[in-house]
Amino acid sequence: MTEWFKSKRNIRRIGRWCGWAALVLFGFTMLTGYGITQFRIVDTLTLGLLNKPSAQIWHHYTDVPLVILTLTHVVIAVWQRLRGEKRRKVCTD
Amino acid sequence: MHRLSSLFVVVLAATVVLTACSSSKVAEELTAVEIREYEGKELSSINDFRENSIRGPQHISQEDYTLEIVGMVENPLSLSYEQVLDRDQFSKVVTLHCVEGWDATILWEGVLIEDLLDQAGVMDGALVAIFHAEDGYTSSLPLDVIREHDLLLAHKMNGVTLPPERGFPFQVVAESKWGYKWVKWVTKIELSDDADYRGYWEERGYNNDGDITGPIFEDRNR
Repeated sequence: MTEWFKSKRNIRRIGRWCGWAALVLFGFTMLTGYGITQFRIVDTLTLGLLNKPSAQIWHHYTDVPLVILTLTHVVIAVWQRLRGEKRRKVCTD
Repeated sequence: MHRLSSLFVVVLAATVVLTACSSSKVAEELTAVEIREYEGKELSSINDFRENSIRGPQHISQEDYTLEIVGMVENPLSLSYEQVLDRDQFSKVVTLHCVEGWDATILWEGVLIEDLLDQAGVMDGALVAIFHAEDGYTSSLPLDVIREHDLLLAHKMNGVTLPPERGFPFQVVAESKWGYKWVKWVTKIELSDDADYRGYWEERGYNNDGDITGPIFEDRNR
């Protein structure tokens, strides 16, 4: 298992997954946010599945995972970029 | 000809003078200005509220309005707008806290709900007052809370008559309770012995106690 995480390709894969998951979660956070402030519209659109109280509960749970996923995605992307630049520098030297 | 033109000038002058006099006698209705500071406290504006009612603002005619007080009362009442106001008036600064995260501190003016209930005669065993709004919205408050906190049925906010968007003609000022307990456009107060009665939002998950110091959501495990 630890070997899997050590693989650079897998780290890049994690970064990609985190990015997509963060994007989906961001959409969901927006939806639940509108479910609180524009509950009349969202309640109707979701056929009553996402009413104001449930939107508020879900919205409350999305902030921490959204921050973690976004940070993970950004950190891996930056790390990748720095590594790439370092490698390019070594090649040109 | 000269006499005719003189007469015309006199008639014209008289008309102008009469018009000026009569128009000065008509009382012009001035735009109400809201109070923004009261006894050193800074107040929010009546426009600082978010519109979050279940069916949008209700427009109630003052002439056709009646407030019913029914249920566990000895003398069911049906009061007009003027009849509701025909009792002692009270005012106090209370902050409305909304579950959405905003709040507004307002100088509320109105009548004591307790006075209305006393006029109807509360039967023994009645525990809660259920407030019905024009749009079908309901919420309840325990009678003990209504009496302990001297809760108001407000008709003015910051010295201005409630606008339709804010709940004209009457809004419950449910001090120390979340905003969903502050029923607007109140048309009926029903007294009941059902302490577990759940209003519109309470039925959908918000806490029936509605205390701002307590949890927003109902504890499902209780």
